[in-house]
Amino acid sequence: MNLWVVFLTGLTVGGLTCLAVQGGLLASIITEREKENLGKKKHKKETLIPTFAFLIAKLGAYIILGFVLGLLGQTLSLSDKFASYMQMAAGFYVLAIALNLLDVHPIFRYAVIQPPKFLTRKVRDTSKSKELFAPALLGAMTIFIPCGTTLAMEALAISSGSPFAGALIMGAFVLGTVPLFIALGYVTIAIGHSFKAQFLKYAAYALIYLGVTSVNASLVSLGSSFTLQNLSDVLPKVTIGNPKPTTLTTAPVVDGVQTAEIGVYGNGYRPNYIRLKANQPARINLVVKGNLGCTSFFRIPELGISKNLVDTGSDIIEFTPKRVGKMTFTCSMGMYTGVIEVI
Amino acid sequence: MNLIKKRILIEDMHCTSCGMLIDGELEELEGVKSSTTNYAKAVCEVEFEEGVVSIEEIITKVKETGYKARLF
Repeated sequence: MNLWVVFLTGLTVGGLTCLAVQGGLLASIITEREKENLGKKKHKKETLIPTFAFLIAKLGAYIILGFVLGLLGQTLSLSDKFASYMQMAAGFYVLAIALNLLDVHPIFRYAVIQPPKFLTRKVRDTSKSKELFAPALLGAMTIFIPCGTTLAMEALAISSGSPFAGALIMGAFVLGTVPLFIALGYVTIAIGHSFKAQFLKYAAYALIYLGVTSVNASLVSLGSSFTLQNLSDVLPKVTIGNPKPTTLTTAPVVDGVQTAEIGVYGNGYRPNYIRLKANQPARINLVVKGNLGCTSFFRIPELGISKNLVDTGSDIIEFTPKRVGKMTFTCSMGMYTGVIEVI
Repeated sequence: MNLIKKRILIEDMHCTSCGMLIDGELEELEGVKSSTTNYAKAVCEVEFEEGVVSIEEIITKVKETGYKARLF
């Protein structure tokens, strides 16, 4: 998962859409408390502490929410195939939200789920509270009033199929919203619509990227030939500088078995392109190098091979390639890929 | 008491929370019994007491909140 893009989305859109409302609610709490303090003859204006209490509680609530959503995804992922379809659905959902931000067609407004009225009323009531913990409570309660982008992130958290990945996604997103919140405080409500629209566009692009990679990753794990990797194969290539050769030419044959070695890293496979002869037994030695994330799960969808790799050392997979052409190998989420070319 | 229901078309909402904001502002107006804004339909359904508050005042309030509004 591209946590940086998630963070960036928070930095752009999360900083503004939800904020216009959440900032307004926080402002109302601060005003209520100021009235209280005035009564007690405390004239010091307190905005920093409530703002931080609000943000920290919000971050905590979203991390927990992400964990729960990831857990839900994990429970729902009854099979690899189902998990891939879930990832695809999440990708399309994210795209729908992006198209809504870009105001492409009013139909996409329906992608944004509206929270039930009793919840929004509760959030509003909290914003009128004078309690000491009201800012923190409000921060935590913002999970009940998600904007479209937040919903998109939640969909990604579910499709991650892992509680920790879910928590990371939501955490990165909310963390991204923090700087703008602090910088602009709760005055964001005063920001003009045209400025907002401009900002939303950037967020929409980030969402399109997330949506497309998610759909593409699901296609890779489903073994589809219509993936971005394959598409880039047929497009003319421009190489800048000195690209690292990762190609391993025809694998050497040991005792009648063609043998290749692939290094498995936390961020991909090296080499990520190997060439095998058809109709001859092949053995691939997967050497684990360093800490693995989603690469700890190795799959060749076309052959129905999926293997959970050991933490250290190496794992072996054996098969006899039959069909001449290219097939993809991938990690569990379809984020890191490589190609086996059968000749 | 003469309660009437009217629908207002609202533009420029970014997300469902804007609806919440509008409902909050309207329900604070004296005479407004309830306000339900639907983001997807961009419509606000407001129930108010005629004579206490007018639909013009309600629309003005929505505009003050920062959105474009007109009678449906």
